Amino acid sequence: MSSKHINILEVKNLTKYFSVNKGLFSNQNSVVKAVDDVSFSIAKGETLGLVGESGCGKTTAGRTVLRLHEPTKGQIIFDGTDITKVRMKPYRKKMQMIFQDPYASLNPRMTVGDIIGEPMDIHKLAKGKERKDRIYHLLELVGLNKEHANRYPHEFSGGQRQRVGIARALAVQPEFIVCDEPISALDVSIQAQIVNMLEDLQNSLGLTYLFIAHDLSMVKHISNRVGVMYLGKLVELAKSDELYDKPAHPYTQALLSAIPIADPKASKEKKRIILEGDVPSPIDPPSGCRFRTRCPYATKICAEIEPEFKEISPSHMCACHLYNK
Amino acid sequence: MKNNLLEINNLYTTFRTYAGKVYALNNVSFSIGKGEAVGVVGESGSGKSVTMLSIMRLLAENGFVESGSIIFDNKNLSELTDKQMQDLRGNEIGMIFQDPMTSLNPVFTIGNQLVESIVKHTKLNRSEAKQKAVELLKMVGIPSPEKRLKQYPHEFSGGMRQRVMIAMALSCEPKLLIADEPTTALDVTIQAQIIELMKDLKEKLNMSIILITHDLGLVADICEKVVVMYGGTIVEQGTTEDIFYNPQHPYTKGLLKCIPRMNMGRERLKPIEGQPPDMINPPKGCPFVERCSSAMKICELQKPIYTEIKKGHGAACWLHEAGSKGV
Repeated sequence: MSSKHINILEVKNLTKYFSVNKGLFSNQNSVVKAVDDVSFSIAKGETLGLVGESGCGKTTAGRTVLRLHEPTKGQIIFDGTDITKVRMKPYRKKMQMIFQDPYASLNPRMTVGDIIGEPMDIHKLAKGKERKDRIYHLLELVGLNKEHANRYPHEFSGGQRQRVGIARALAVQPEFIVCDEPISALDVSIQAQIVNMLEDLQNSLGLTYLFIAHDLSMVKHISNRVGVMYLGKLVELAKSDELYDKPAHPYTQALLSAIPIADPKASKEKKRIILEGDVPSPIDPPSGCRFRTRCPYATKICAEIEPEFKEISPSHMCACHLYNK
Repeated sequence: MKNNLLEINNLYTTFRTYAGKVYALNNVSFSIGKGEAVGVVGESGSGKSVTMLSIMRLLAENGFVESGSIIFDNKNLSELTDKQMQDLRGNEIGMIFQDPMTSLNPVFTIGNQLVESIVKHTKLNRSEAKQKAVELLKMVGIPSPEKRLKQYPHEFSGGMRQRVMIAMALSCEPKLLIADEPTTALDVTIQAQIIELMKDLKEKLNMSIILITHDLGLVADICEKVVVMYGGTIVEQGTTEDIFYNPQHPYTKGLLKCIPRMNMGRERLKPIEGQPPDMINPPKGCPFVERCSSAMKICELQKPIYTEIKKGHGAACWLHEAGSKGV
């Protein structure tokens, strides 16, 4: 298999349904189609960005890839091995996650040193002095210093906590990291620090990222390729420049036009595509194309047939009937 | 100066905490004209929200306005009684809070909450207030308002709830709307809807807006004036064009540089290194000194004085003092 060496991760038809109880007195269960038939692959050393609005399933997709949620259907292939059904512990060393909320993802009763040391203990990677040295090394790697090891999370600011979260993910020397909105809880001036650090770490340690975010300009900056999700479906996937210069899917176009530009003149000239309404409920998504209820170009066919996710130009994938001629 | 709706002069606010006195605001002065939108930007903890809470006299119990004056519509707000202040809130100054998920009461219907605030602030009776509530929901773009009034907050999405909050804030047609990060909790496409709505209402009602945000893009879009805050002081203020095209303070410059632009390649971002200052033990001199790349000796020792470069555009930075030219 030659693809084994190119793609570190391949996700095929990944599907995750959650069942929700309709109520105490009802036997009926309905399903939330959080992630529905999503396929993508990530090459070694690459960063794939995943964007979309809240509730579109991007976080669920990221978690399911790590099997923090069990997939309902589909296949996850990591480094040539199908990990959909295997025992995950050996793979946790290779696949890690950085969480969104640096305030909630660190145990307040543990010192920073223990937080970073815990993954090493679980995987029996280092003990005693070696463990300590590695903790110090990791702290320095993320721009903190040795003295911080004995402090507790509440003594740190948001940006510093996120650095601790990154050090913890790096403690097991992973190859692949899912970054779930790692910067959205941080101040603008701190965001750039963390993004630069993630890029440096990627270059020095050869990491591969799945970068989940809703800040499109940041995603463009950090990613090689970007996927856009809407209501559990991947609607477009392309190289980041291509996606931002020539967005194909009407949803991507609206999403890009909605970003405020930090430039008063450009901002006044810009025409916004204002989408009507809200995202429909994933419990009962619209038939056919899920975006049709808000799409300015929707026609009859959109309600009847679900558009296929296919290549519209080299390495530019899109699921829309507009490109079906 | 007669056209100013709100004038804040030399405002100092402190909080008493167990760890000591926190100097949340130091000498904050700015003004807003009628029908004008002012953006207040800065990091968390820079004093943006405290400024607004000081205006509204909604500070927590341990917060005090030490000195300074707040003149709204020719009234000095610090001289008003609590009762007068209560009448002013909602009637003349409306406020939208950051989190639409928690600022509505979950056990009352939307209609109930809207009608309550209308009855409280106007002379309308309940049935007239209900009529008004329907109109308001229509104005903020909520479909089938009659049906929606009978629903509870959990039946509304985030964007819809924020619209309800805006409807509530607008129910008495305030002269000033204070919006504290109104779209931070929302998605970009919903944010775009809310922004268009706010711009539209500003035109229609000739309302003044204070927009507190950390998103410079939003400021560029809506506001005519920008106030940049850092460490409890105003480090720079001016028109939107001044701030974006001719920033004077190193913090403003840094802030503009560290956001990635859509037309930018994958070149490295230029972050502002370091952390925001500790407000319990603030730096003796300029609050930005530890992170400033052009800091001088004087910056550590003395607070810079706010100086105007031209009318309406000024910065608090020693670089603009005579004698430090060419730095």
